[in-house]
Amino acid sequence: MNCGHSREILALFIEGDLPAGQAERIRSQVQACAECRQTCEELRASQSLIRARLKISLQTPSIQQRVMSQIQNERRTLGWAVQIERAFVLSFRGRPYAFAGLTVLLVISAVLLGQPRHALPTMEVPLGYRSWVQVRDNVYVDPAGYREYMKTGAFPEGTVFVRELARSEGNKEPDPHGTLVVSVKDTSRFEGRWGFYAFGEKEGSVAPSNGTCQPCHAAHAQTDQVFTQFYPVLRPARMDIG
Amino acid sequence: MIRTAFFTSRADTEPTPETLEVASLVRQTLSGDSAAFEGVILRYERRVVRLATKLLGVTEDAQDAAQEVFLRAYKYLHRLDLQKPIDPWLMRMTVNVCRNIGRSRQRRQNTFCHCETPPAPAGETRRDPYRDVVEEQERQMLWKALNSLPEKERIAVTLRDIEGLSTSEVAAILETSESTVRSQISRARVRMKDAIDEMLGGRQ
Repeated sequence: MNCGHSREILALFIEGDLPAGQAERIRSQVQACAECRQTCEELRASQSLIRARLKISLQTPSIQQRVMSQIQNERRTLGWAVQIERAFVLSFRGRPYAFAGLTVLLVISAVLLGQPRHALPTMEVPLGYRSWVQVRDNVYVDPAGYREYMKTGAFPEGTVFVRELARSEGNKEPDPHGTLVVSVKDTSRFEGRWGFYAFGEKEGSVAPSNGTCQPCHAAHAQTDQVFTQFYPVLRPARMDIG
Repeated sequence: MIRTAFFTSRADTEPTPETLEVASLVRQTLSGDSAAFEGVILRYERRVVRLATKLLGVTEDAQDAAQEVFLRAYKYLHRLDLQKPIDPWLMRMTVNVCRNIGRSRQRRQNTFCHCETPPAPAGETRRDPYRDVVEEQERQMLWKALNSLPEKERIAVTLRDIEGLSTSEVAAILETSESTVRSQISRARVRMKDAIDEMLGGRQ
C-alpha cells in the first residue's frame, strides 16, 4: 500500500474503533489515497455481508425450568468451600477495613505458628580438635574454654568437648554412641545449658541428642555437666575439692 | 474477583434502574429466596443463549452452555459487585463456558466442530429461490470462516461485530485491554474479508 496504512488499521477505522485523534489522522490520509479508499470500501462491504448473513434465529424454549430444578438439587451440595466463602463475603461485604484487619491478623498468626518452636542447631565434627587440650586419653577441650575454666573454675559459653569412641582394632562391635561425641555449652539455645551431639560413620551435620545424653550428664557429672572427676588435667580448678 | 466484591467502588456513576433491580433480586437470592433467581434467568437467558449459539454454532450445545452459565452464576453470586451491571459478568462466564465446551468437543472429535452452522433467521419472505440458495451458501461459508479464526480473535470479533457490543464492553467481558481487543478484531476482520474474497472469487 502506497501510504503505508495497514489493512488492520483501516478495518478498525471503518467501524469507528480507533481513538478520536488517530481516527482523524487516518481520515485525512484515506481521503488523499485512492488505494486506501478502495480497501475501506471492500472492508465495509465484507463487514455488512457478515452482519447480514451471520444473524441467527433464536427460537429456543426457556431454560429457566431446567436451571431452577438443577439449583434445587444442587443447593444441598453447593460445596463447603463455596459455602464458607459465601458466608465470609456476605459478612464482610461493605466492611473492607474489618476484612483487612482480619487478614493481617491471620497472616501474623500463621507466621508465628509456622515457626518451629525451638529450632535446635545441628553440628558438624569440629575441625582439628586433636590439637586442642587433651584432658584424658580420648577427650579434648577447646583451648579458650580450657584457659577460662582453669582461671575461674567455670566453663564459658562456647566451650566444646570432644570424646573419641575409638575401640581397639579387634573389637568390631560398634559403639552405641557412635564414633565421636561432642558437647558444646550454649545456654541461649539449650534449656539444659549444653548441647550433646553423637557422630556416626557418616559425614555431615547431625541434630542434637540431648534426650539420650543429658540425663546421665546432669545426674553424674561433677562440674556443670562435665565429668571433671575423670579428667585429671582439669582437677586443679575444680571448685568442689578446693 | 473476591476483592472487587469487598471493595465496591462507590465513586463510579450512579447504578442504572436495571442494575438496582437485578441487585435486589441477587440480594433476595443470597438471603435464601432462590426463587428470586428466576427473575435473573428470565431477564438474561436470551442474551446468554444467543451469545452461546454464536460461539458454539449448535443450539443444543448453546442451551447446555446457558444452563451451566446460570448454575455457575448462582453458585458464585456472592462474588458479584452489586454496584455494577451484571451483564459483563454473565457474558464473561458464557465465553468461558463455551470455550471449555469447544475444547472438549475438539478433543472428542475434530470434524464435529467446524461444520455446524446456527439456524438461519426464519420468517423472512422468500422472493427468489435462487437468492435463497446463494444466501444460505454464503451464510454457511461465513460461519466456516468465522470458526476457522484463532479462538481469541473469533471470540472478540463475535462479541464486537456480531453481538454488536462496543470495544470497551468487549474488553470488560474478556478482562483485557481495549487495545488488545482492537488488535484482535482488526486481524479477524481482515481474515474474514480475505475469506469472503476467496469465496466470491471462487464462485464467479
